Amino acid sequence: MPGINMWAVFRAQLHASIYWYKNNKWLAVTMFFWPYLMILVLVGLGSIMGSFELYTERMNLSSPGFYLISASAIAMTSVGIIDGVAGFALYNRWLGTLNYIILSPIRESKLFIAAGLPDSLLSALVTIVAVMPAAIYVEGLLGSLKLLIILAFMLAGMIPLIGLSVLAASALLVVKEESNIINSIVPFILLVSGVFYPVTVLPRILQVVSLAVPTRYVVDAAKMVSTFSTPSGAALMLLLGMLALLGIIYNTIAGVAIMRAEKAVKMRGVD
Amino acid sequence: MSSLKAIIYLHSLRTWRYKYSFINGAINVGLWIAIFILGALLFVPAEELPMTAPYIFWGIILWNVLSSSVWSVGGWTQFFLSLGMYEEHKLANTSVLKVISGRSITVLMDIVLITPVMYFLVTQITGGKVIFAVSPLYILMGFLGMFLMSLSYGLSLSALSLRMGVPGTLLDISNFFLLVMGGIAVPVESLPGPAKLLAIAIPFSHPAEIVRYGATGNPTYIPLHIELMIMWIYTAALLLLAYFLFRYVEDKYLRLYGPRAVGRM
Repeated sequence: MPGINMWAVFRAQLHASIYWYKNNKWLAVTMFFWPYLMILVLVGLGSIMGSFELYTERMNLSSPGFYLISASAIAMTSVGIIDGVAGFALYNRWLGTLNYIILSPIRESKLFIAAGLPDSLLSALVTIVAVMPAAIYVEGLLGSLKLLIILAFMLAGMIPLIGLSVLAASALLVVKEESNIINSIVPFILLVSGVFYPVTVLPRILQVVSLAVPTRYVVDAAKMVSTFSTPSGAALMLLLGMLALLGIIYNTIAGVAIMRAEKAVKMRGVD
Repeated sequence: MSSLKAIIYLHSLRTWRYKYSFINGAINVGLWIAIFILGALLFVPAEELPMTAPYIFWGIILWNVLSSSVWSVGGWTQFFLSLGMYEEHKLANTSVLKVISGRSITVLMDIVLITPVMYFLVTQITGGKVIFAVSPLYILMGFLGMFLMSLSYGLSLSALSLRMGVPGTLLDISNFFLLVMGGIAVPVESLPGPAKLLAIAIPFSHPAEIVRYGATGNPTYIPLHIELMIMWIYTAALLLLAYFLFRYVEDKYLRLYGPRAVGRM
């Protein structure tokens, strides 16, 4: 069938997402508050238990305010990306439309990426817009420039994260449960990425796992730009290299997994 | 008795049928809270870290009880309605309140599953001993109080969601608020001035204080016997509120207008 390609799916999903936000204005508004709420919970809890100065010292940050702003933005964007890609499969399964989607003349690997991208991009952009005033307040115009560097890392981190999400979506297709079995992926990824703390505080096994998690490198970049007024270009490039490597690995595995899942589902149908 | 058996069977079978979803749900709440707690631990001087272990551990477990009750009892009602289970149970003359209360089985299983995970995480990170209970009886009483209060809160939310939409985001925000200001994660004594009064007014701080006393032996902010009395009064009041709210919504609204959602059946 002509006309159904990745671009068509992307445009359709973008259209659907925009209308979803228009019809759920309250939820759209709360997206602007979530990063601040995360900071409030952390700083509120931490200040009752100890002191913010100690946190700054232990994290080795010159601009802790900016770091917390960017870390919260990264956390929210990671939620948006995984929900956007893997949530697409789950949502359509609930609606009973997954059967038709799977039978549409476009490969599932392309479909899930194209359908997940609008929400992923929207979530990254909305989060950055939401935290921009705070970044400018904390660091002035330099803060907005640093935030753009973080955005670039978030977009680079999106590539392996989409691969990971497609893997999760493949699992959703195969597992005979129509409920949400992927909710815990997001907090697990954030936990091992050391989003509000150094990875070294984690048990050894989780430190090893964190090496394979893309968000860790985005968080590392945020730490770097929050520690130095001019972060080392070589170090940032190294982080980008790791994201590229993980992008290749996860997307290759995801491509194989989704093909197998598609085959299995077409053989036995969606439960 | 037979309906009670059927309800227990329904929830146990359902948990087994949706085992991945159940495991995922239990871990999800624990992991989210662990992210914030790990960050907050960096505010604590290193030498005090091992001493915080029991506070952190029980704070996470108690918040799990609250959060699981909100989502597994209150949040599940939407699912119950949209599957057409409300009409089905009404036609079979079965109390919907009893059926939804049966979700407490899932909440308890959630806690059983997440406890060892959190024990591992907290002991590894703080290097402290988590379970050196001074009085297991007080831990048990505090836990029971927290469980019943949370169940009542979940049932009240459930009654409201039979009548109207309850935005999930607001529940998330209120859960986080209760974690910090409700005396669940930290002792009431540690809260700043006026926040202490607020925490005392929030029912959940009392079972949390009693559990912390049972775990560490450190005195509660209010004398222990008064703390116990307040906890049971609050528990009874919240249970009664949930019961009457449910009855009110059923008698005054659902009987006249039917449920808010159309079931698929």
